[in-house]
Amino acid sequence: MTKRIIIIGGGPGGYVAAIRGAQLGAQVTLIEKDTLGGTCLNRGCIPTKALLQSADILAEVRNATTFGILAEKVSIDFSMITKRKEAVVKQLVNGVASLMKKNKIEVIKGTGTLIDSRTVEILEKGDRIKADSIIVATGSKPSTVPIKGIDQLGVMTSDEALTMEQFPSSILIIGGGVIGLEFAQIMHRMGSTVTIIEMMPQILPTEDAVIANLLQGIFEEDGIEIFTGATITDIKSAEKEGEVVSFTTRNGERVEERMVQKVLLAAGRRPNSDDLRIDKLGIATDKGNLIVNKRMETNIPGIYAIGDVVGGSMLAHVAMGEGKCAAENIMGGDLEMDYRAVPRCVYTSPEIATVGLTEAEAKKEYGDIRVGKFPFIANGRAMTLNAIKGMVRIIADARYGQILGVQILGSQATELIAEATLAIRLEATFDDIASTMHPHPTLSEVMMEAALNVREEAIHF
Amino acid sequence: MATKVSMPKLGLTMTEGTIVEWKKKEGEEVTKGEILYVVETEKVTFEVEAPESGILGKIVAKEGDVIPVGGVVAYILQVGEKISDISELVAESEEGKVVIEPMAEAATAGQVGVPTKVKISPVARKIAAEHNIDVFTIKGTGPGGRIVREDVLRAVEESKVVTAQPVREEVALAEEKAVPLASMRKVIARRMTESFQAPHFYLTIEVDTLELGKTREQLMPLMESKTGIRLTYTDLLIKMVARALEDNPSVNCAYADGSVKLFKRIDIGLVTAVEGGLIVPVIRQANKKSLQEISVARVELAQKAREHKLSMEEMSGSTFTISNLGMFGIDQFSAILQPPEAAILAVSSIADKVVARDGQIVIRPMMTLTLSIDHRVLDGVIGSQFLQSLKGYVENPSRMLL
Repeated sequence: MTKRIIIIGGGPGGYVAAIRGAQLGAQVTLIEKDTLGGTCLNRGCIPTKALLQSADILAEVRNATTFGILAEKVSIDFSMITKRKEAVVKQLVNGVASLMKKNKIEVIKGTGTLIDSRTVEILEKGDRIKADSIIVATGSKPSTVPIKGIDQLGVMTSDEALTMEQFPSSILIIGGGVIGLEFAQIMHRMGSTVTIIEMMPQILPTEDAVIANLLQGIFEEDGIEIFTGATITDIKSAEKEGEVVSFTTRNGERVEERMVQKVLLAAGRRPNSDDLRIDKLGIATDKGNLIVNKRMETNIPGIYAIGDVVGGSMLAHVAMGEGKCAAENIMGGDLEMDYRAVPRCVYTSPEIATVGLTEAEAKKEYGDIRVGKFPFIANGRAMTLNAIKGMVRIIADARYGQILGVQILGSQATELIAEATLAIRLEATFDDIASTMHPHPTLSEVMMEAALNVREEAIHF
Repeated sequence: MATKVSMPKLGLTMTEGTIVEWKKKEGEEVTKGEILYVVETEKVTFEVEAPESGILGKIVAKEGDVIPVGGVVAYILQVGEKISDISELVAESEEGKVVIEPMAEAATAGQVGVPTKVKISPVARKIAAEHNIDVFTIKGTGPGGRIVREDVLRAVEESKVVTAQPVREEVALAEEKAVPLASMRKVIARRMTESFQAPHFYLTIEVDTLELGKTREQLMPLMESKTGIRLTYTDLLIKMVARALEDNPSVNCAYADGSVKLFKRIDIGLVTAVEGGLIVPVIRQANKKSLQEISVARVELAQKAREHKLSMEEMSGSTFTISNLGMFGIDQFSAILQPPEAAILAVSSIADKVVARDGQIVIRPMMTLTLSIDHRVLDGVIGSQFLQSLKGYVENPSRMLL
């Protein structure tokens, strides 16, 4: 008998689970209420990176004289930027659709809700379909925070920010996490005045303080205003247009006000499980996150959950990994998710990418540790690119040299992190990276040099 | 032509041996049949004779090295041959796939029929090498059965429980007599130290041997006329212990790698004193042997032991051990486990004692039996049940007929 799987949600977790299930011989139905590709493709990773590329080109052109190129009368056509962004998204969405077709996955447009552990109802039509197993992959949506005036007209989330018809002249961003920082830089480069308010004592609160502080310095140097440890008190309409945001600075020292055209609420995301009727089925949750075991199964046998809806690291690649894990377990496998080697990327300029433990976490878990560092300024390729800002840090345990964490701040950090991720997954030692030949001249040499530096034997530093 | 000296296969189960001591130095003259070196296997030490007369040209396996069976340990040169001639031999034997060195590889990959590749993470390999753990013995729990850090650390912990501390350190502790121990003594030292890693406890019971003595007296002339052997209390006890083990099969076990190994066979080791130490010859299938067969086997093994002629097979693989010091007038003692066995019985002398029987004071020949137990695998109740069974047979030998 062919196994039947229903997947609710066609984001990166859902569609990957669908393909993996189909590859293993299941008959798969994918239910998506909006557009295939979910937040990642339509409202997250991809459109922001398309915008970022335009902002980066602008910055490069403005800086072209450094390279001996004289560019004059540089201007921005916002509609062309938007059109390109939409074209990229559309092509990728179509790509997912054709993958569904190729793998003979039935795609139903509608909102799926759970009737029992074997039945899903399409809310719009009332149709009920049955399966042997169900994967919930309904993703997340932007969090709201209880601030006075948060429902003012000028306050938007990342969803709306991506559909703006014009960049605002000024913007205040609530939240100094990944989403806030990426938008801050895009808008700042496109000409907006940007202020970031972060409640925690550092931006990127879950990342290594060293790297976070370095990035904050670079942002501030560029002219982006950042307040950490600050709390918004209220948001009011301005007399002419826009909003007046009041906030207290660090430890409530003093009260500040900024009059801005727009406010971007980037205070994280929360699981999206509203339409599922999880309470009726008795699926266990924690603060809205569906609770799953390491095999991605909920407390109801046969119902699996993956991606943002189970909380944890709300990252597309985590959802993809969990989707594969759930699909394989449904098809008779026995896989457990391993979160020790999850890369985290921040697409600022310079980029940040990290994997594994921070220095503080490593110290706590392993006691005696060593840190190998290497600055981009000592790398030949970085010099030719004029990408000299940043550094690599490799955290290794002192006893065996196992690589426990890697943090990269610098150009192409998000690409360079793949080597470190493999190293951590394979339990490699810093010697393994140090003794591996890296091509010259490339940015990847920074990894090798930082590994050598664990023993203070870096060649170019 | 120089002669290779290789690790002999001293028993069916032997896969490797440790060089304990070289009796000859490089450059020294050796005569065929002369003791060349001492090898230690899992159970015993052996003195290995020189296969050829000549000059001990080169020793390739140092003391302490573990060499697989068939691996070259030294070369003997004939008169006129130079040490440089050996290099060709080394190359030749490498071609012939005889593992010579490096020793670390021999230890991990030298076993016959064992795969030479293993999925293991770099850090796991490093930890294993540092702790001298054979990676082929580790079960991997990582992706695709890969051996990861945790697996090796677990193996390291387990090896601490089971294996011994290096014997050389133990020797160093005995400051007053810092003379190197004879190889048999070294094995004893190592294995007894190893044994002390096992959490022991002791159960003692007194048994009345009046009936046992009568039985022995009845059987003695019969046995003597049939076999010429004098029936001993030990022979009777071996038979009775084997029977008590049949009644209590869980005592017949060993602790191995975190699990209990239950033996089906009942092979009883008998601690035997020889010049310079102890050895433990094994009476196979003691439960299936008649008393007469046990006596014959015991006498034969004891004779061979005294003459150092026991084969490896004859002194390994016991499932339970008896140590009898009764003939030395010892009132009571407790024996140290023979790892990996989980129990050993200490038998003391028979002495007339005043005991109460049916409210009357009487004098009876009493004997104390002490069972030493590895508490990791056996508990007091099981040990007590075993001793009760044994006591039943000793005090009422006719039960053996049931």
